[in-house]
Amino acid sequence: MTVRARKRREIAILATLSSLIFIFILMPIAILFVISFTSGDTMAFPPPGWSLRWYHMTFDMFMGRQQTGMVGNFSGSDRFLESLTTSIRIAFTTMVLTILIAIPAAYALVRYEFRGKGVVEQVISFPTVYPLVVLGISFLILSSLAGFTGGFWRIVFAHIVITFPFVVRNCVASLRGVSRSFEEVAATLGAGPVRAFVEIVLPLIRSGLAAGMLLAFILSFNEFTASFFLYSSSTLPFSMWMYTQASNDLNPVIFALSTVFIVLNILLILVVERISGRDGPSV
Amino acid sequence: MTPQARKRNAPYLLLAPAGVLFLAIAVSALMMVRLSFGEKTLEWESWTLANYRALSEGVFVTGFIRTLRLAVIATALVLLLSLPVSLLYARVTSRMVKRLILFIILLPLFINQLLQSYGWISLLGPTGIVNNLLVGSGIVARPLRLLYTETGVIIAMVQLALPLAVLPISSALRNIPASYEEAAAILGAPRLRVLWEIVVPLARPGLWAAFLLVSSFNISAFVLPLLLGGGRVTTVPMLIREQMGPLLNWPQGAALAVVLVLLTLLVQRIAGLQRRGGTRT
Repeated sequence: MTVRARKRREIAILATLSSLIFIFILMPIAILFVISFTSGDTMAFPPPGWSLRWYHMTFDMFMGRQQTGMVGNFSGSDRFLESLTTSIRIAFTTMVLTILIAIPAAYALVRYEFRGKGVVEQVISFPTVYPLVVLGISFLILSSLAGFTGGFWRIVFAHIVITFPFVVRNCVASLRGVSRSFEEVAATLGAGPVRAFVEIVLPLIRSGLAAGMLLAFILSFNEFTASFFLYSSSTLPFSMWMYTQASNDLNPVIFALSTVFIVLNILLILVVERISGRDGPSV
Repeated sequence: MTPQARKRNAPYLLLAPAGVLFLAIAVSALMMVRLSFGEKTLEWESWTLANYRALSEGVFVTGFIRTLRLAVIATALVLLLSLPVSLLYARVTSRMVKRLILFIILLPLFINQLLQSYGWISLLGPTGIVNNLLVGSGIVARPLRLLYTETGVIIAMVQLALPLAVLPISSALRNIPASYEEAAAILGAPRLRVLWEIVVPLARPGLWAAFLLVSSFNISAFVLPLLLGGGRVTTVPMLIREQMGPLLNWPQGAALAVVLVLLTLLVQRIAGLQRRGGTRT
């Protein structure tokens, strides 16, 4: 066999194996999609027939309308819209604060050599391996010791910790693409370092930043474990609402709702994919 | 301040906001450690070792062993399954195919774990696809119990953690010059042997990085045992939840959490040492 034929056969074997693994990876997501179109009341597979009834119900929930034809203990739109707004507020605040902390940190790491840089780099990636359960309960302990029981800010704080390593990495990658000479030129023309950054560097990395911010939003919106320990009765995030509902009764409307959110999620990921790596000159 | 001094201090000033964040993590972790030495209801006034002594009790020991067992099995499976995918990702030249693979791989990472767990509940249930296929094809006579067992949790762990392994491994594979493999092939080594004796050892740093990410993920998995364990798969995170929630024994929960962190640090240490060892040779 020639080398080329051998190589082609090898890729074919790898592709077959990988396809099986891809099916495995996508199975739980695909099944939600399929069962959400069932005409039955349970999540049995294959479904007895097809219908859009669970999507009608989902639509009513989004419109804040009372549901008709509810089954089991599902309490429907009770707090649904409220939890959605809460999660969006949390995700938005997390996104803004994380990027504000991450930009200067990334700038320091890319543009300066300083003592302790290696340690700082290691510490920054630490939250990726720090157990979320521990993050959740240690923030719970700290906030209750400080007599602070509102869920909103302690969840936001935990989410900043969670999203920070991703966003910093993103900013570092974007900043690496911007030559130092732009700022040097700006400096010779009399611009201070802050002005050079805001007017020259920032516009050059804006797609990278936008991608990082969206990433933070997605991660925060989907986060469950830390929120599980930190939510309060007045701040009920969407994940927690979903969890409470489904523990009462896991019926197909949960699957229809999940499908809606997964589709939104995939669209956001595609946007991130699109805009990252679309930044200006990288001389 | 002189310009030189300003330049010297600039990076520290820029890092200050992030510093506050990490200070909060450190303070909250220290408070948790302090609490683990407290007594229930007298949390901050007393000092005791009782919570650590209690860790030798049956429930906790079983919990630790179960956590490690699940993590070891799931991590081994993840590393094994991620090899063909990483090889494919490193070899494929078409940009379109590459982006498609990356997209599929990233999905489980960015979609709510809770929603994916609901998918697994329906897949693994007694009337779910998996059992229907197994019974229908005559492989088993009666539906297997997969949901609310360790097996079910492991299957889902493998699915959720796989993306974490593929990226570091494939980036390590890309750095291996194709000429090494070609040389081995010319010398007549069979493909699998080339893979096992040349490619895998050279990809060691990537494999250890993947090991670190995947095993930390699996040791501290929370959503999966909570939803797919049905109260029967009591891993350490589940025990922590029980102490913090229903039992309201925060000091005991804190002691368990301290041990969980030590476990993750141990894994990190092992991976770090091995990774360095791997690049030296």
